[in-house]
Amino acid sequence: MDEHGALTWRNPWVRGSVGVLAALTVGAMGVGFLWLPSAQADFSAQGLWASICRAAGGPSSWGSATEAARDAQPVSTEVVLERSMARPSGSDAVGRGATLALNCTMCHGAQGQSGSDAPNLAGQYPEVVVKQMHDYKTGKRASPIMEAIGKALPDKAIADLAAYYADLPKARTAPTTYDEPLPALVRVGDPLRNIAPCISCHGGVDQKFGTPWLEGMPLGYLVAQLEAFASGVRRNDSQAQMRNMARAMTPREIQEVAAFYARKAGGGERRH
Amino acid sequence: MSTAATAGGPDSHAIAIAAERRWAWVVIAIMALLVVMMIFTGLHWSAMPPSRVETVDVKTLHLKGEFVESNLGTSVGPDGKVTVRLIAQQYSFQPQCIVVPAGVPVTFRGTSTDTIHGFVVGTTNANTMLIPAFVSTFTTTFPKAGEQLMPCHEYCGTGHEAMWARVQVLPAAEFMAKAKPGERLSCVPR
Amino acid sequence: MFLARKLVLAHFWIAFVAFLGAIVLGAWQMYVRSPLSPWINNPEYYYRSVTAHGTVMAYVLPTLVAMGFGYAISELALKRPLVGLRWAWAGFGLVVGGTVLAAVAMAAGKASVLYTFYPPMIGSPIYYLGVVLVVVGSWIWVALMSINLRAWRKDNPGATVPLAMYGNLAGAYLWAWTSVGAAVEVLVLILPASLGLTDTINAGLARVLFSWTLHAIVYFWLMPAYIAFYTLFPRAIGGRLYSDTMGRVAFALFLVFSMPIGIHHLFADPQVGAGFKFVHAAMTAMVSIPTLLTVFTIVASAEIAGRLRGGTGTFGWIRALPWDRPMMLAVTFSFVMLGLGGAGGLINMSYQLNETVHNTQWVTGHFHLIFGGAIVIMYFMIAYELWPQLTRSAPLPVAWIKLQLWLWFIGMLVLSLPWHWVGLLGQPRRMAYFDYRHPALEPQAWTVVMSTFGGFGLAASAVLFVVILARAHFKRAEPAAFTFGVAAHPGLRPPFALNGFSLWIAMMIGLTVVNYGYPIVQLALIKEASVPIVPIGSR
Repeated sequence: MDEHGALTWRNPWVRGSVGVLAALTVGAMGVGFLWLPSAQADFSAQGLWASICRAAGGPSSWGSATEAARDAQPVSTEVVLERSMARPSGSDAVGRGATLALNCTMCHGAQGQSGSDAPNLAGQYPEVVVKQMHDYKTGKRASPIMEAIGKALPDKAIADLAAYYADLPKARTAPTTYDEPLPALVRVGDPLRNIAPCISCHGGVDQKFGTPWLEGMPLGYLVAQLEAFASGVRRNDSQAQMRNMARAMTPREIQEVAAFYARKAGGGERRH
Repeated sequence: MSTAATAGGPDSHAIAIAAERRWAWVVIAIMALLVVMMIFTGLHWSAMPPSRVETVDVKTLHLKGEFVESNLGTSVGPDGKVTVRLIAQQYSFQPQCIVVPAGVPVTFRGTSTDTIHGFVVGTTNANTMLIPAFVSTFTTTFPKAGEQLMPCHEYCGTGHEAMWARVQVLPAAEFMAKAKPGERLSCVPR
Repeated sequence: MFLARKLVLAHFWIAFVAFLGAIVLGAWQMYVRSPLSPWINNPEYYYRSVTAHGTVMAYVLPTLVAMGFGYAISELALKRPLVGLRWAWAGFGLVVGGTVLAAVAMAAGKASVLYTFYPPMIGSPIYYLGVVLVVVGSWIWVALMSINLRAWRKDNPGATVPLAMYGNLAGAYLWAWTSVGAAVEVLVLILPASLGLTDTINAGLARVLFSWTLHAIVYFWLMPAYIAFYTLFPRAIGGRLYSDTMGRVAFALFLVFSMPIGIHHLFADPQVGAGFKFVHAAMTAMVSIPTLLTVFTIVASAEIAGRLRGGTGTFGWIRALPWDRPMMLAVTFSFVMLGLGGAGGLINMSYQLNETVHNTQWVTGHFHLIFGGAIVIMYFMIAYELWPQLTRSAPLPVAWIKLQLWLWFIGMLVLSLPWHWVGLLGQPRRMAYFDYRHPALEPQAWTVVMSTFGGFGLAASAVLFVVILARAHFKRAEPAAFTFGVAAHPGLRPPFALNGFSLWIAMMIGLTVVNYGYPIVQLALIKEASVPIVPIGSR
């Protein structure tokens, strides 16, 4: 290290660089934290310190933002989806669920594979069963039979049922893959109608948490649900996730998409 | 900017340094001009991107608070302030079709329920990110009536390419005729 | 060269083979979302490709080029064998191993999260582990560069650090510091979520940590190109470097200002306050300064060469320049693209102006032009300049090189200029297909078609590049000794501060604490900011 050389305050390079940087920083902060916020009335309300905190990013609220609509409708669903709902449960839960499920076989089939228009439950993701049962229980999803059943089942029973059905092999089919001929809406959707490809949530390409497994579902069931979403009669999809998709579909497209998923059913009893 | 470019004695070196200094001042002046522009814009047009940190609870967004489904849409406050509340999710915005008046400042407030989304409206500067747990707020004015497309512009999953909403800009009078206090407007067909 | 020949060659070959693969993917991506192609059958394939293209072009190619060039500079500029050769090979192994891991995860469709991997979207842990290994391998390189410089200083006390080595170390230290952001994001936030150890993740904090890395990483990419400007260009055109000191000033300014400005990537984000956004915008203006200074110095160096060749008058020296030499072409092309891309960058930096272009295709056009254009063209020249040394081959065929450079330049302009325009027309980023039938999107169609042809041109140029390099292996000769450029006023001693890094590193770290400290800490403390993860891919 030579004489003028050390990096101390005596070195003009050190003084100059650090000085300029400090001035620049202080100046920029002055503009960003003091001057610019002062130009917005609601930004600088409640004094200088609050304004500086807001500019720094301390959380605060934007004034009277939380007024609710006067004609507020009840919420569409009360269920909060948690990943814990999908954790594999122990075999006792599955066993208990199997016992409970004996009451469901009349409509939903002996192995969770229905011969009627009631949906197949075999292999359905557990959080899907949990959410739908809770929505029936609270009346957010309408069905005279299922609402009564739901109200009669405590939460633990619902969880056990979900564990049981999740444990069953999926209804006779393989996941949708792109190798097969798929209807356009299933594989690419229609962007400008805001219809996402079904496979981007319902499996095959991507599986969104809380989204049901569809392959092999009865045709009548799928058509009825899509129509219910499209007309807004079924509203238990939080924030209109499915209603936004179904609303823009034409009746023919609903038939086509439903027929595709229903067609995925292999042998065994099914009705069209 | 002339330079005596041949390697030579201290004279040419001094000239070289002087030319460098001149250029450095020019550069600093250009940069300062840009910064002044930013300050001027911020002061006089108050054109600020989402500028304040505001948090929400993602898990209960649909249960309570400002972003429940029935509170989304365009509202006119008692002071005449127009506010659009929306959420983004995989793979739609709710409301899917947003209606706003032309020529009137509109404040957007939005958040995401799952992944990171964002949107831009047509070719306007209505442009923001929507990050789960945070509320994005910005104010803009739509000069002309008409319909604009509003795509999601941040990759949010394999359905991202299908995430397009619409914004209908109505003439101010027509909009105000539709707007009722306490109601939330949208152009989504029921 | 002494010991590092094979090492550097290995780095470059892996880099350029990966580059070729990624270019092909890129051209395909452009094609498949253009009106020339029907919509892709499975949109996930597109995002898989974008992830692979981005990961290679952003993490693998530039890291390997910087590392290889760095080892070469260490031996050639310091004129001594590389210390730590075995560690260097270990670092290389980590980078390659990490690349393979990431590639496997991406190819299997388990990591279609794009190279920016913004949570709460979470992919396979194998992908993230691969990226971590690439970064850790590069940290070994940083340490070795420092160790080698220290060894040289011990043997040459008080000597002036050669400019090439100075820039090399500046890039290395910059990379070491800037990679900390993404490393923390991946190790602390993402990997636990990806491994299933936690169900929530702080998405806002992850974005801020990534922004720490996201800006300065492009300056890490840019350093080899600037080292080439300052130390290879003047010699290649038969001139002198106008000012060695100015080069050091530029590298020092990059070291200080590249990193603590990352929040300009978050202008539209709600988790950062307006005060910090403005401060970062103003500091970003500072980081434009070293580039503008470099433009002056390099053009002045060209003027020296032009006048030495007999050019007279205010502009006569331009005509006198050696236009038949590839380096002259390359630097000219690079500066044109730097000018265009830099102007776009100034728009992106200008806080409120950014709102008009944020996350539109303007941004994608911008970084392809400035990185893929101005910087990568210099990567080609670095390879060409070093190749005879590395492969002990005859000089490379000049006509082919010039063709390859022209193809790259024209291809890049045709690719990126319409791309900027379609961004102004409002086309959003990162979509697998567009419905060009809609009247609002129909005017965008021609721009994407043009960009597609630009992409094909780039792919052709990339193939030619690899062919030129490969052919050299079969044409043996003893190369001339390698020299770096000489300053116009050699023997001038730079100030002490510009012969070392401690002052600049201290300022960089200090500025980071001031510019990033509060946003990071405050975000980490917000409980609600931990949101449920969204694993992507089939269950």
